[in-house]
Amino acid sequence: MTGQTLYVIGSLVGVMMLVGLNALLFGTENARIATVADAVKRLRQEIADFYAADATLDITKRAALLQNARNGVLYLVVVKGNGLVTRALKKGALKTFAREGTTLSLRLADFTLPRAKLTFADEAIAEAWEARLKHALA
Amino acid sequence: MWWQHLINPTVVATPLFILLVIAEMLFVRLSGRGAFEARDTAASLLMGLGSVVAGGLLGFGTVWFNHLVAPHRLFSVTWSVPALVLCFVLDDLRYYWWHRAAHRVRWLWADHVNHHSSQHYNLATALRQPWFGAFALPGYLFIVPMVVVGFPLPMIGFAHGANLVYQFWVHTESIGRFPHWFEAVMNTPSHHRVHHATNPRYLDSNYAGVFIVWDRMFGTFVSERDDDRPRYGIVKNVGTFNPLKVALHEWVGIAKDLATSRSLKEVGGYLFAPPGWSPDGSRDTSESLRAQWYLAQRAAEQPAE
Repeated sequence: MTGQTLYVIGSLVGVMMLVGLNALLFGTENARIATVADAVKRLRQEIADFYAADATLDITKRAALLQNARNGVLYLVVVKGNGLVTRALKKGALKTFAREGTTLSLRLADFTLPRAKLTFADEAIAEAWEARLKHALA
Repeated sequence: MWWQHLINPTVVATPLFILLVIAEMLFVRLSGRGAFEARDTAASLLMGLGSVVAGGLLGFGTVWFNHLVAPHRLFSVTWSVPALVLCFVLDDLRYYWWHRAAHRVRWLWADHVNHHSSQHYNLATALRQPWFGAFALPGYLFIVPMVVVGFPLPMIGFAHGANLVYQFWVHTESIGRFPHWFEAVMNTPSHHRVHHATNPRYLDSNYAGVFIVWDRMFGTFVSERDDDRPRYGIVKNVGTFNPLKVALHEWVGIAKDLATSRSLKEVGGYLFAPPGWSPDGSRDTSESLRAQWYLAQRAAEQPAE
């Protein structure tokens, strides 16, 4: 085994130990979006003229759909680790979507966030967002 | 002289980096000043390791280019302490301009964005380094003046390594602010938090490596405000902790845009214009985000009629 291979293997072991210590000290739980207001707040930070016309949190509290009252643009907010990631669901960014009962599955034209799944409390809410997504893609 | 044969400072400092990451984790756990996330830390550390491996595999391009330029040097600077100090200072100026270009030219940003892709700001983030710097070809040009002046390539390499070692410790929320005289001259955690922030007022500022005086001289300095705490990451945060996807994501974005380009002007725009540029202006750049934020602030400040 060459010195370089040993260097890489030793480094990988070191990385695993540091990540293990990180998990031990801070846990590995995904964050939750506590209330819909948190998703709105995040978008307000990122988009200066964002005012929520409507916003719904999915039942796992790990994703939300929102609509901007100013221009009707739809937004997705999802939990990633203990942070949030947002995406505008405009034509071109949203490839397809499908609803199955209370669950909406989104496919995005996004290399780092290709899919999202949201399950709502009841079917009427899922249908309402499905209609808005159809309008966004039209 | 013994120091003519100095090895890479970043390699020597690596054990210290690891100890400081552990110390910061413990400090953050006890004090609550800062944040760590295991998958984010894993991505950062693997990107750091991958960057070393990729540098070994792909770094020959930079070395070849430097050796190509070296015979055309105007002077021959010999090794001495004053020469090394001068080289360090001038290399920091070079770093400032490279770094500024890396935020303003998408071809270079495709590489540098990786370092900014964490929503956390801790010492592990400092190690989140790109893998494909060898393909950020315009970046090679920034070293030319140093080589042409006549600094020996190992001296430039040492200065660059020392510069990177200095920058490691400024990636932390655990340190507040230093005395005014120090903050006035040196890059500090406070100044660099601003650099990593996505708050509109902080975008594209504080490019310094070691000496913040370059930002003050060239009009890119912004100080950290207590009423606008930095939010870290990029304006379109990545939705993955997969290091390969993080390393590739902006390169993929450029490839997609180039594939749909309809003219040479569009090709040039996608490669050399600031990140977020698009032919129809439908995407956000730092300027457009700042302008929207400014207008929203103005509107909020105006009294209701």
